Amino acid sequence: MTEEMILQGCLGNLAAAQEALYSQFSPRMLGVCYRYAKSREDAEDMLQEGFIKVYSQIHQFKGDGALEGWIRKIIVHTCINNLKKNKKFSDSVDLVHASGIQINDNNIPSLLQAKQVVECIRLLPLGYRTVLNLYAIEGYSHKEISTILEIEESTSRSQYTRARGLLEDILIKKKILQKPKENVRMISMTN
Amino acid sequence: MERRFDMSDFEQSLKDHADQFILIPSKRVWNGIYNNLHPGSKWPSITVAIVLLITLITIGNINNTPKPGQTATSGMAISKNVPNSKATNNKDSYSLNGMTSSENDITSNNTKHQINVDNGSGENNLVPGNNEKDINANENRVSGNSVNAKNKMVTRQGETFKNNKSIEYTNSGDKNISTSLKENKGGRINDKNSDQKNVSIIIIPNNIQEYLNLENSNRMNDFNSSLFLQNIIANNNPSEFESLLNTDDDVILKETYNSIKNDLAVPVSNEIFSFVPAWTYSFNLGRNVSGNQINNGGVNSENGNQSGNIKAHNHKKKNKNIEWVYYVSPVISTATFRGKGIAPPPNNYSPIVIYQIPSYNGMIYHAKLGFETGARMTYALSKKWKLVTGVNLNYSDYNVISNLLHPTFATLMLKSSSTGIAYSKSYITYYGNGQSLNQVALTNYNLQFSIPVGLEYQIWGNKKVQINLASTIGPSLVLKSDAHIISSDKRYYVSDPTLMRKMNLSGNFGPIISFRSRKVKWHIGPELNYQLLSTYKNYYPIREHLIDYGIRIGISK
Repeated sequence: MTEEMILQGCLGNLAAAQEALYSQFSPRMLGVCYRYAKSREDAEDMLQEGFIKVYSQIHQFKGDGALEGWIRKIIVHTCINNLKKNKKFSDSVDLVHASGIQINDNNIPSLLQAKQVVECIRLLPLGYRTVLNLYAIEGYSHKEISTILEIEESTSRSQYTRARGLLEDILIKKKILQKPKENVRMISMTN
Repeated sequence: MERRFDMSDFEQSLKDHADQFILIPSKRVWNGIYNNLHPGSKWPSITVAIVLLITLITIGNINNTPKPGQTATSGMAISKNVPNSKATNNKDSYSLNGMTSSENDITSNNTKHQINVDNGSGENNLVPGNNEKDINANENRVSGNSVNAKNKMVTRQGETFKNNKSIEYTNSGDKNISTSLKENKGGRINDKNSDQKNVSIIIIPNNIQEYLNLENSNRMNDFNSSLFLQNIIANNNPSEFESLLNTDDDVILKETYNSIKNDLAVPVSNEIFSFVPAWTYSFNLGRNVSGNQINNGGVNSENGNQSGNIKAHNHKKKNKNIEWVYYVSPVISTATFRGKGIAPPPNNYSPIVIYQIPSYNGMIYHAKLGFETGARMTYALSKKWKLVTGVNLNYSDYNVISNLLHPTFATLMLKSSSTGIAYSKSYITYYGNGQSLNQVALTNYNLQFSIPVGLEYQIWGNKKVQINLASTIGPSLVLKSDAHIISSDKRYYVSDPTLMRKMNLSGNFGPIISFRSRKVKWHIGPELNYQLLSTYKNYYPIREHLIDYGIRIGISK
């Protein structure tokens, strides 16, 4: 089933087309949700809510960009909205306390490939993690992040700087990232 | 593949790694989405279930409601004139305590009873009709304020029950007690096979006439409107009745009454009771207790001043046409496969080819042990035919032999049921179709709840043993299931809950041998269950039909 057929089917509320769309994008989108969520279960809840929004708003997709990008945008916003419901999140995203955070080496999972990196990201405090996800992975600007998270732009910058520093430390400890004299290299494992 | 990048590419590197990360969502996510998007699709199954449930309840109620032609009203008439009440079943004649005998013309093809109790001395004769059920109560003597009942003998279908105990009351004071023996037939009147017979004994104080002679209309109304005669069932407990009869003082009777009146279907007014204590006991002379009714009896007052009807409470009678069987069946479960598979395209541009899969045992699967349990209700439509319905819970499963793999992609070719267009669906799987050192057994199972409806035909039988042939069909609701489906290239197995049907249709067929032991009736026989619709939805082109065969073991009362 082509993407065009899937889109037409989803517009017609056909279950088969909706299922095809879900099958095609849900694994990657759950990966996105997992980076924001506290647990796998929370991530699945976010995914479910996000896909319901996707199906209900699919008529708004104009075909300007990639369908995956459009779905991803909805999923990310769903994740952020979910996080915002938690009061602790707004506190954590506002605070700058990177210096006090200690990463226990035992907490770093010894998994391979992308999962290892994602699990390292998940070790970051929630506020850091969210800003890092939005800036480095989703490609939002600090200005956009400040709007989305309702924080100062400067806060977003400092959160990101500290998040990145912390993540580098974790990756180096896990020997995913090598720090030569002049530059640091990240090595991905063999696929 | 190994990639290196500078620190300056940190964001890009992070993005690349994060984007590669995927997770397979669990089944509940899609189920939640689907239910949210298509809430209406639940309604057909729920509606069908509700309709079936209402139908069952209605049938049950109709069958349990006594029909006017089949049940005699319970009660007693006191009149100067001889009251004749017509019913189709019994012919009873009573003479109580010196009162003039009145004959109740109740015709019956089956029973004809006469019970006479004299004030001085009397005989109770229960003359058998042509129903092969004889009840003789001999020498029930009432002398003064005492009642003697001797040598009660009940003969029933070749079985003889004897009670040679002399039953005697002695009442103190003015209270005289008369007894009236009545036969109470349980169940269907015309049922010659009935082996249940109840005898009701009504104990009425003699001062009832003084009470009635007061011509107090209020009392009379109270008397009439009260549930004067209550039918208390001393189920399967003749000794309780005998001990009651052996008491010397009606105070004990009162106490007994107090202890059991809570069991009455409708409470008796204590006020009325204080004036006119009366008890009706029904005790079972056979092995089984059935519905309990008191037949009409006519009592003609000697004084003849009063006229009125005392109506007793009708008790609901169990319908003998209905039988509940509770069963359990160990079954061997397996499956058959039908339909055409769709071959996956060699590349994206090649046409889709439909071909007949040469052998379904591209899958290697083994039968497993399952079970079935439930309750089955039969309703006798005629001597030979019975309507069958009930509730059924079925668990069937079978093992698919697979081998563990590193995660890989597998493809299922599906066919849109609306457009007929074939399309592919990809899965990540760990299971290959083959046998190796990493062999693993995958269990495909189904837990279904069904409401079967069908017919049962008696092939042969006598009173003790019957051989029936039963066949039912019914909608089933899949409560839980899991299935590993072979991929279109037959190299892998994938699991996809969204392909599974929630509602299905199951058929059951098999002979049943029924026989009676001392306490219960056994129903044993082989059975075959066949799932009529495919386990999978229509857009999966291969149809799987589950088959269970086993032995059904059931009991009923």
